[in-house]
Parts: sequence; structure tokens; C-alpha cells
Amino acid sequence: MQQLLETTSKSRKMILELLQNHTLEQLNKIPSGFNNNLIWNIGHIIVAQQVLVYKLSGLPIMIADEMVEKYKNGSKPEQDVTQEELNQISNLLLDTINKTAADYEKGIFKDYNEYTTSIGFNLKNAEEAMVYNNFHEGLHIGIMMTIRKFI
Amino acid sequence: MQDILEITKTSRNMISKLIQGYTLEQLNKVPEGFKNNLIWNVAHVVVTQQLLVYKLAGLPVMVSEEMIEKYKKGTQAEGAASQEEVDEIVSLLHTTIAQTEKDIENNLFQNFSEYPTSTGFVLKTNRDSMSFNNFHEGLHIGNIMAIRKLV
Repeated sequence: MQQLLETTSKSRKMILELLQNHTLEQLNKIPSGFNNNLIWNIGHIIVAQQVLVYKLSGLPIMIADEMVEKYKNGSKPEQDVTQEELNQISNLLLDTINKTAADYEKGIFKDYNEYTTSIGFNLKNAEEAMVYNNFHEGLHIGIMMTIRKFI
Repeated sequence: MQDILEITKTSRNMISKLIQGYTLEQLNKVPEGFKNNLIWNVAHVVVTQQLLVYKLAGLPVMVSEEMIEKYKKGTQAEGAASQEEVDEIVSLLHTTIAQTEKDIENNLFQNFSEYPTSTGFVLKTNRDSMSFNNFHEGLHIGNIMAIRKLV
């Protein structure tokens, strides 16, 4: 589990670097032919981890319902993100994973509501959710690496 | 390790579906501003899994030296792949993972040479390596999802 979170932590650092290397305008820009922008992908990664690992374990999540609605599966950017929202997202990138590592050490991940992901993967416990989450983060980093060529 | 491989299996099925229906010409097309095409990404995923999971474990790989040289990290699409090559790559997508599944069952993964990846992960065990490989496949699926809109 420790090693799984280490992968997530590296993934978040890659994303943070990507975020820091672009202006608010670039982060909000939806290139032609795409459905979303860099900041939506980042918000989506944060929300997905909270839902997959915490909500499905029956545990409270660290983010507001409003943010979940904005970035959950099937959503897309409806309006530009403000500098304030950007700062919040930027902090959540690392805070959420540090909290997961601390919570794991406390042994709070016990129950899990089995869940089939949109790509047909069946998750049975929090550890499987973390394995899947790393793959999911990789996928969105791949998309972001493409989007950044067009902004 | 079987739990981690389940994601790899899902990843491979996703890749096959994503490129289904694309012509040889589309698979080979490098969109403007890109270094790679769809088939390079697919072959790169196959080669990388073999290097990360087998070579670092001191085990023989299932792909030819020639294929490794063509698609390993740092390479880019040089000349179009033939239909025969595409067929082989697509077939390897599944056969390599079926073999890994058998090799996990037979406890073949005993040794590992520590390896720092280009994205700053230090892989210390076979489990680390398979887990990083999933993140890596996710990353290239993200690329594939974006490139296929542009060919």
C-alpha cells in the first residue's frame, strides 16, 4: 500500500509541475476538438481519488460536494476557474494524498462498497481502488500532456 | 501481483478497443506538433512492460531486439509500420499479458534490479515495477485518446 501511494504522490508532483508551468488562461483553455482543459483534468483527478478511495469506503471526503459535482465522471468545464479555485486545487493535489497516507497508517480503510468503474473494472476494496486510481491518474496525465501542446 | 495485473489486462483491452476500426494509414499518421502516432504508442506500451517487468527481473522478454530498439523510451515513429507489423503488435498486446499471468502463477518473479524511471520513480521490487507499468500504460492511453481525434 505504501508503494501504491508513493506512485500517487509522484503522479501528483508531476501534475503540480504541469499546473505551475501554465498561466490561469492556459489552464482554462479548451483546445478545439477537445471537451476539456488542463484544470478540469486536474480537478477530476482529485475528485476521482476521493470518491474511489474514501466515499466507496464509507468515509468522509476532503472536498466540497460542489467540487465533486463540477469534476465528477461525465462532467466537463462549464466556466473558467478563478485564481482562488486554482489555489485551492493546487493545495488539494498534495494534501489529499498526504491525508490518505496518514489515514492508511491509522488503518481506517476497512469497509468498501464494491464498484464497477466506467471502463468495466470491478473494485472490491480500498487497495484495489488505489491501484486503479494510479492507472486513472496516468490516463489523465497523458491527456494533459496532449492538451498542453495546443494552449 | 495478480491484483495489479488485472488493471494491465483492462488497460490492454482498452487499447485494442481504442484503435479498432482505424486504418493502417490512420495508425501511422503523426499529427502535426506530435512526435508519435497511434501504433508507436501501442508498441511502446508492449515493449515497456517487457523491459520493466521481465528484463529488470532478469527474465527473457517475448519481443525481438529489433522491436525494442524501435519502440523503447526515447524513440519516435520512424517510417510507417506495415500491416504485418501492426497485426503482430496488436497480438502481442494480449499474448504478453497472458504470459505474465502464467509467470506470476509460476512464481517466476523472484529477482529485481533496482531502476529509476524517467519520471522520477525508483522501482525496487517486481510489484513496484508492475504498478508503475500500469501508470505508464494509463499515460499512453491518454495520448492515444487524444491522437485518435486528430488522425
